[in-house]
Amino acid sequence: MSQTGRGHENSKSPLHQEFNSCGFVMSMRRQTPLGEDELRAMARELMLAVTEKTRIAGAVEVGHIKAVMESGGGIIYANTVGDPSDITVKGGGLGSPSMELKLTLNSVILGLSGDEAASAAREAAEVWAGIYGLKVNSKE
Amino acid sequence: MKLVQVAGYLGSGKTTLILDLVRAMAVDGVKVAILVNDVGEIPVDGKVLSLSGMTVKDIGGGCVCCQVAGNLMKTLETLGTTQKPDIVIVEPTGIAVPESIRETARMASRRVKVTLGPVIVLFDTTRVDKLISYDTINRLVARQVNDADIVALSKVDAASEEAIAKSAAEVARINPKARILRLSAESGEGIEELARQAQRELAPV
Repeated sequence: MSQTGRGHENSKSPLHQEFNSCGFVMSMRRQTPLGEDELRAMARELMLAVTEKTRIAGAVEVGHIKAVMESGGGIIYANTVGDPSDITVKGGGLGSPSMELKLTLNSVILGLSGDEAASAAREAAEVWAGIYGLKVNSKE
Repeated sequence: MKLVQVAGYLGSGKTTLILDLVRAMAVDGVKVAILVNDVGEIPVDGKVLSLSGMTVKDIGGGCVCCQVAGNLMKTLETLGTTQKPDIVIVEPTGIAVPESIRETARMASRRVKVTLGPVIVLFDTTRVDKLISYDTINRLVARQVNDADIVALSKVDAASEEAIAKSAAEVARINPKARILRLSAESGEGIEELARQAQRELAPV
């Protein structure tokens, strides 16, 4: 996969002025290996945590929250549109369980600024990481 | 190269559909490339789509229908002069306006050979009430449906027949010319038909 540069940016379409987005990458590690089943359960919990925190921050609507979790050579991806009954967790292919985890998260929110959406998502992810014994090594 | 656009509101199932479409289209030596745009600063969909083994170009940093339209044009030019795929499937953000992307592709066609294929717009039948009742979302979804050649009523396996009928009626009201079909990534309903229609349809630039 390749990614293009940012290049010249225009203004937003008037049809989506009220939507704002954020994204971040966190590299984490813990003392014990992460298995595939546990990662799937964690992905679901992360979707719930970010949704809840985003709503508490004042979101009118959760457009989309998406996450990719990379560990042990495999990839788990999860997404939600803010409905706890509609969380998708897919992927797999983890080889030997690893203690390292890279999380990439992206959200599109209606009714919060980009900074507010980012703060809510980051805070939720950090608390979530702590619950599972993960220490955050780096954030982008 | 032929450009097929798979648009639709956030969470309507675009990435999942594209994975299925690629499998159905990339046969008999047909080269398919995927161009994906995440509105967030860090692209996620491209990571998922790259698992399909296809050529995936990822555009981040804003919406390709407005903020980073120039990047779409450059990427189409690059694809058209280097990898030269037969089909380019474009997945814009869930808040993109399809006609704006088509317009950018028309401009790119002056520099590289691009033929405009159909605009497929997904309409999530499980969320029909939300999509038509909340003003900000409704205006956007109505515009997306209005710009569609084909509207795929998505997630029909998870919606009631009443919700599917309501979705179909709403789509037909907004865009009476659009072809409407039922789609389920879960059961596979509609995938082959959609792939056939996307490959067959060639709109002159």
